[in-house]
Amino acid sequence: MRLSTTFTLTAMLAASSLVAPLAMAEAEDFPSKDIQYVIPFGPGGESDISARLQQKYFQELTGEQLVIQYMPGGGGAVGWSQLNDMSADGYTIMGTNLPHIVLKPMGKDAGFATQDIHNFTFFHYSPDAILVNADSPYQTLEELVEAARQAPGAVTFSGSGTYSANDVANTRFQQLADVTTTYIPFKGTGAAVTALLGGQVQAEWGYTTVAANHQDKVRMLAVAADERHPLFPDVPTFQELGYDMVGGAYRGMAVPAGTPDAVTAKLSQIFGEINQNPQFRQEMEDLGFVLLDVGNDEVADFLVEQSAQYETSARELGLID
Amino acid sequence: MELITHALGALSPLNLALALLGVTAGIVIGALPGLSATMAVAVLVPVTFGMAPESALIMLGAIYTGAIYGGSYSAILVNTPGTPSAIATTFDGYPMAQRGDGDLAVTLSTIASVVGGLVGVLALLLLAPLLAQVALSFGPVEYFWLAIFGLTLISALSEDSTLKGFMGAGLGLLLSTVGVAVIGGDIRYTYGMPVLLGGIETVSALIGLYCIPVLIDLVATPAAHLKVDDASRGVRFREGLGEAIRGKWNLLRSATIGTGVAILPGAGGSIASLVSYSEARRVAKDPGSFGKGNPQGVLATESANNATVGGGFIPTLVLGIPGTPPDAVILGALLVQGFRTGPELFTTNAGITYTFVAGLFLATCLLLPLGLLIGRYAFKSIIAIPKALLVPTIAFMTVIGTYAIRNSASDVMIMLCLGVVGWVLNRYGFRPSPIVLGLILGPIAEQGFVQGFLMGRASGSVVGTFFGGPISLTIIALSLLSVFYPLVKARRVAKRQGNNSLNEEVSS
Amino acid sequence: MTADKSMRAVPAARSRASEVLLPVLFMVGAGLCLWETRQMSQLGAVFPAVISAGVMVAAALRLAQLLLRGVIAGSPAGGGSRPRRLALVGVMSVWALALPWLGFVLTGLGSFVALMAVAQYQQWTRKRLAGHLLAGCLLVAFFYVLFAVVLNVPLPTGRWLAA
Repeated sequence: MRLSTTFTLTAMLAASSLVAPLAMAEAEDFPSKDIQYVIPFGPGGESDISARLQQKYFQELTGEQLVIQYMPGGGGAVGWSQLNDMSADGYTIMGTNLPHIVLKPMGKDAGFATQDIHNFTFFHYSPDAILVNADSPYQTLEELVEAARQAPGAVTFSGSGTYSANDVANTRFQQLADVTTTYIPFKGTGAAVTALLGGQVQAEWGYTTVAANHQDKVRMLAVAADERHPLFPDVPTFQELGYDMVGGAYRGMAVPAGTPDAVTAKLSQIFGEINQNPQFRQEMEDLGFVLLDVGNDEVADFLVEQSAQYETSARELGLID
Repeated sequence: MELITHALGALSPLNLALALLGVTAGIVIGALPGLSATMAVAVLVPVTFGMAPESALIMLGAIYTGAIYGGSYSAILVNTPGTPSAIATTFDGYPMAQRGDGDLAVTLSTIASVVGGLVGVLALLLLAPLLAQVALSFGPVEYFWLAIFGLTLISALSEDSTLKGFMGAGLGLLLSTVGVAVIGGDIRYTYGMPVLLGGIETVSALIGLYCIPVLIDLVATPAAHLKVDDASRGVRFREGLGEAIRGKWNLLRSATIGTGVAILPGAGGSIASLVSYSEARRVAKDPGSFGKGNPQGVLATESANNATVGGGFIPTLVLGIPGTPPDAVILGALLVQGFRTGPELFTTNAGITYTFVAGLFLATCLLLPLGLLIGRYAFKSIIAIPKALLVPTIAFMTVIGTYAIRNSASDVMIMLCLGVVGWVLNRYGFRPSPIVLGLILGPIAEQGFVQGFLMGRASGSVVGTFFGGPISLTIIALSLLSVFYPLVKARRVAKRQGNNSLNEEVSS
Repeated sequence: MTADKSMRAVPAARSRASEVLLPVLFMVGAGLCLWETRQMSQLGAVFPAVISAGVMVAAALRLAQLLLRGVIAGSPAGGGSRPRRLALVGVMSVWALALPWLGFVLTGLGSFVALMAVAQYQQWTRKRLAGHLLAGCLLVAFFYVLFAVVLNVPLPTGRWLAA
């Protein structure tokens, strides 16, 4: 193990000293072959769907394919813990998610550290939202909060996973509204919304995307975005209702450590350009996503800002002391 | 009338060719352990972006249908389920192949798959909106009881000692908790190894537990892998058809169970075929012959798992909630193509839905000729290949198949370790099937239990939550029945035959 | 009385000792799993704790059953070549360990040849050897194309070779 580490390090040094002068020239005609895009989740989820939407525009823009692969397991941990072992030539990129990459390493044995992941863009997010069944008695958020206040713990929320975006949102909301609810974790957003539709829970911590998918069957009470979502002009934001909550599941991309800077910058530029395509924007919005333009240069600041928020929530969740 | 127009739309020469291609590719992919229907569909999705939506859907449905069926080949011929749906097919399929009836088993699997597939598609066509509501009435508690019902199969799957079966199932259940817990977020039993974070991958465990022991025993003797009759007997279609007609109720019951289980988004093909297998065994006059090469076992599991194809699309299309993992991929493809799921898929957008259903129907019918042909070929090549080539070939498939599931070399190591442990345990009377049963049912049982507990605590009555609903009570009754019915039956038989058989009853 | 006992005795799958040893192993393993649940959160611990306890109970019942009814030795270990079995497991272990380092093609070809030797009972003739080797190469090539090209699986190229 020791030997192989030294070996890899030497090899990497040798490789990078060789590559450095070439990097500029290489970035010019990058990409010259297909790019492998590893999604650290299973197929069919939101990460997958947004990647599928990018595929078409990526090919239009570069003439190469964006090949999607899946490496599911451990809520993304399996993929992220192997990211830096992958070939660092820019032809392998991996999807990353907030708050996952910040919260997971706070627990023990996550297999990776937040700073080991070299994000080069965050390009969209699904804003947190509270959903209820279409035939639920709760018409507004205030009514739901009132119900929770009268019987602490009796109002149940389904959501996806523990220490996830939903769990964080629930914790934060309980604090802001000063109520106690019961959060029930499910395996994935699909299972959480099934429980809502089946009337197993009174409400769900979901996203605008879930509401977009199940428009006639659910009612969204509030959205944790800066402004109202174009698809749901009648649904207020949490801020309008007096709760200081903006957040959700942010999605970005990362490269393995050692990927040449010029290539990383080019990747950031390509996906930034896809984000500006009006047709792509429309398709993403129709599915309930909110686009975000955090390029390679702004990623560091963005992460610092977000991490500070998550740290507060993590303390609240009891994940860290 | 509208239906017929759209059905004819599905029959354009291009779509027919695509269905043919899809079914063939699906069969091959399904037959290779590790290459699942999910993967086949996922790989195809970008290809379909350039096609007309109807053609894309027909091809996706065809490859899915083919893959679920193809899983039975490796289950029958090398005791390794090609897809998780085919686990129960190994129980009787492989013993049949060992005694020289592999060709018959493949033919039976083909007939059963066609029947099951058609029942599933019919349910999708006629009852979809109604059945989707049933899916929603299954909450965490109902899933928990369903998992318990599944676990009652242990006694049927452990030949010499039920207690050994319980220990094996316990091992499987514990293995299922390895990795990051969905509820609680704990990292359990990983011992600091990042490779275990994602848990033990079910398919790699299947490959290890079922296939590695076959390999280990294959190299130990010079005897041929499967017994063969020298005279070629064709595909034995007439014989298979006769068996299928004899088991017509079994076929229909299993297909109905398959459709029903597939509607539940948390269950899936493996559970569908396991439940139908245990029902076939329970109803049979000769339950003892199951697991020793009873053709009815193959009929039950294969008609159930192909029924899940149509059944799984019911929640997918009506509710937008994928019934099985491949459905999740197809749903994603639909969303990207700009289709919204929901009741309008059966009203305003009915055109595309009916074309798709017609496509599935077509693919299922194509299974019969294609399956008999490819199955014959697969059977012949397995018996014709000399051992010195067969062993490395199977070993090769296990390694690359396991690797490909999530691009992980560590999974190959885990698969191999489980295989060796499984071989040793099997030698001492601990069968692999209860272990696998535990591994598959573990997450359903655990999540259902803890979610139900949280729901119960919130509502003030945990007991009321678990024993309140009519569905829960029905499943509990079924579980009790499946545990005690064989005992009652055995006692009745024992009484009739005198005290001689008391021994068997106690030890079974 | 003795006749009754021998009739009710549990037949062991193999030897009498192993019949007793395995439940003991299960019990110890489950005990360790149970011990570890102490470090988990309440929600995460409940399931593994119940299952571990269940396995321990089943193992205890089995031991009690063996003790009360007695054990008679079962069929001795079946025939077959132990060296070949061990060789198969050995080759496959080396294969799995070397896969990320040497890559798919090299380990695939190497293991194919090794396993061929392990499984061969007949005399090697030159023709047979050539035929088998050719088939092996074709098979590795076929799977490489199927997985890497058709199915887009990033097969390991080997870290030692890449450097």
